[in-house]
This record gives sequence, C-alpha cells and structure tokens, in this order.
Amino acid sequence: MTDTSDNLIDVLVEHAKAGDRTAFGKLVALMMNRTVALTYRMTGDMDAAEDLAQDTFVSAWQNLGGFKGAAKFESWIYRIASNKSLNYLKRAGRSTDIETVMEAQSDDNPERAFSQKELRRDMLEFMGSLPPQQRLVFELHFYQERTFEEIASMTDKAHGTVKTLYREAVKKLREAARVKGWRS
Amino acid sequence: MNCERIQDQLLELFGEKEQSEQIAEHLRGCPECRAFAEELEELSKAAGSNEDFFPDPEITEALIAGVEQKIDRIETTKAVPLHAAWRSYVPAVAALLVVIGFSATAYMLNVFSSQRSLTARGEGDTTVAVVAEGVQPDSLNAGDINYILNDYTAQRNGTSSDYLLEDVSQDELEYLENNLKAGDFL
Repeated sequence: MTDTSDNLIDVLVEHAKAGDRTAFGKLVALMMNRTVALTYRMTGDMDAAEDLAQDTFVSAWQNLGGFKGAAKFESWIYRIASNKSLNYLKRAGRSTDIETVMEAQSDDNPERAFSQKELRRDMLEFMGSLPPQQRLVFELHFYQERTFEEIASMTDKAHGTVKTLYREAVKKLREAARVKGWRS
Repeated sequence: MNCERIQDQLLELFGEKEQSEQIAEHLRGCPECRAFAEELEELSKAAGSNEDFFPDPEITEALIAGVEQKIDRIETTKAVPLHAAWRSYVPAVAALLVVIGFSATAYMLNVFSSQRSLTARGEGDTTVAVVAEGVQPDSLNAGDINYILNDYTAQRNGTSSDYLLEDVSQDELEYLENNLKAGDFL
C-alpha cells in the first residue's frame, strides 16, 4: 500500500468506526482481492476462501470498536482472515505432507515454464504441503509483504521464530521446485 | 561472513528486491552463493505475486455485495419492529424482574461485592459469562470484551492475541466458563 492509500484507509476507518457503512464498503472494496487471495492460498479451496473473506469483513464490521489503530488496518484484517483460515484448517483437518503432494503431482516434463494456471495450481499445492503456521508466515511475508516485525506482532510469535519459519518454508519451496523442475 | 550464514540471509531475503552491500560483496567473490542467490531469484519469480491469485472482477463484485448483504441482515436483526419488540420484551421483562429480585437479595447478603457479570455471544449462539471484579458494563463494548477474551485465550494457547470471540471453539468457551474468575482480566 502506498502512503496515499494508507491515508485514505485511515480516513475511511475513522468514518466507518463512526458507523458510516459507505466508508466501510469502500474499505471492503479496497481490500477484498488481497483478502480472498490470502484465504485462498491458506485453504487451497476457492469456495471456502470466498466465505472466509466475507466473514472476515463481517467480523471486522462487528468489532470495529475494538480496533485501536495501533496496527495498520490492513494488518488487522489479515490477522482476522489468518485466524479464520487457521480455524478452518483445524476444523477441516487439512494438512498434507510435501512428499505426498510431490509424488501425487509429479509429471513427465520436469523442465517446463509456468503458465498462470500452473503457477496457481502448483503454488497452492506447495502451500498446502506446509504446516499451517509456516504457511501463514510465508503467506504474510512473501505475498502480503508484511515485515517480520509485523508478522511477529500479528501472530504473537518471537521475531526470530518468524524468520525461522520463513526460512524453512523457502527451503521447502526450493526442494519442491527441484522435484518439479519449476522455472519462471 | 561464511557461506552458510549468507545463504541463511538469502533465504530470509527471499522475495525482497534489495540486499545488503555485505551480501553483494560476498556474492561477487563466491560462485556457490551466487548460484544459490540466482536460483532463489528465479524461484521468487516462479512463485508469482499476490495479484496472480486475485479472483475475477465479477466474483470480487459479488463478494463485496455479499458482505453488504450479510451486514444488512445483522443490522436488520438488531432493528426489530416495535410490535415484535414488545412481544419479545415479555419474557425479558419477566426474567429481569426475577433477576432484580435475586440481585437485591444477593446484594443484601453481600454476595456480589463489586463484581460485574457480562455475557458475550459465541459460536453457535453459545454464551459465555465474563465475570470481572470492578468492571463497569457501560465502559466495555462488545469489541473490548472480545479483545479481553482474545488475549486470555491466546495466552493459554500460545496463539495469536487477535482471536475473535466468534472464533472461539466450543471447547474453549467451556474452558472459559469453567475457569474465569473475578480479577482474571484486571
């Protein structure tokens, strides 16, 4: 987010906290795509991702009074979306190990370029192979561009733990890419 | 700096556009680490960006409209028509009279002291009573109660402290009901 859009978000949040539904609607419109992308990569299921993203904004509306502005509003939204995604994974018992995914998805053409569709499919498979906390840290840092400090605060983990989780996720990504012969 | 540390730092910098001069200097003189860095850069491009996973515009529009509708339903539920409201008040008034009578008796017996009891709604319409000494109900809104509970459950679970009440599972609600005591939140 740029400084300009950060300022816009701050203004919209103030109006929304005062009960302005139009302002809140604008916040939803500004952040929906990124929130769905987060819940999609976290769950690997578009239907679930859409429901979770909508529920995120409904919860945000209901709890706006509790948003004190110490963190950025978008971090607060990602935090709600992350918790909802983790709860979904916990309830659904969704976690696969990387070997299973790689064996199941191995193909005959290891040196292949990524198409958009393949990228989405393969990254979702990779994300699904990570343990939920590692997946969340990778998601928030790589795709949502949150700093390690922000993620530590969002997930109540030590700064060093967040870095370790990220390093491990990238190592696994490298391993997965070698197995599947990814290149950009 | 040795290669292992450099490679650890490169893993941490995965997806970043810039690297320190110290790393750049090492890479200039170390073919192994340079190959490692190039592999990661290639991989970072292959992993795509946030935008690659955005839904189609018409789906986004539908999702935004869906949020509006869900909030509308919640707000409508809050605004009950007057005649329906009167009917719904009958059991509430009866319950209130019982509570007032009980509270007056309890007050006389000095049972409640300065405690305040707040009830918050959880998942599946379950409720959890939040009892805290000296808490003034008027000073807390639903968001604040959620935050208090979030912190409480987070401390217990070692998880995120932004745990919204509606995300608290049945087991956790039962735990809260069984274990919350006056002063837990002070």
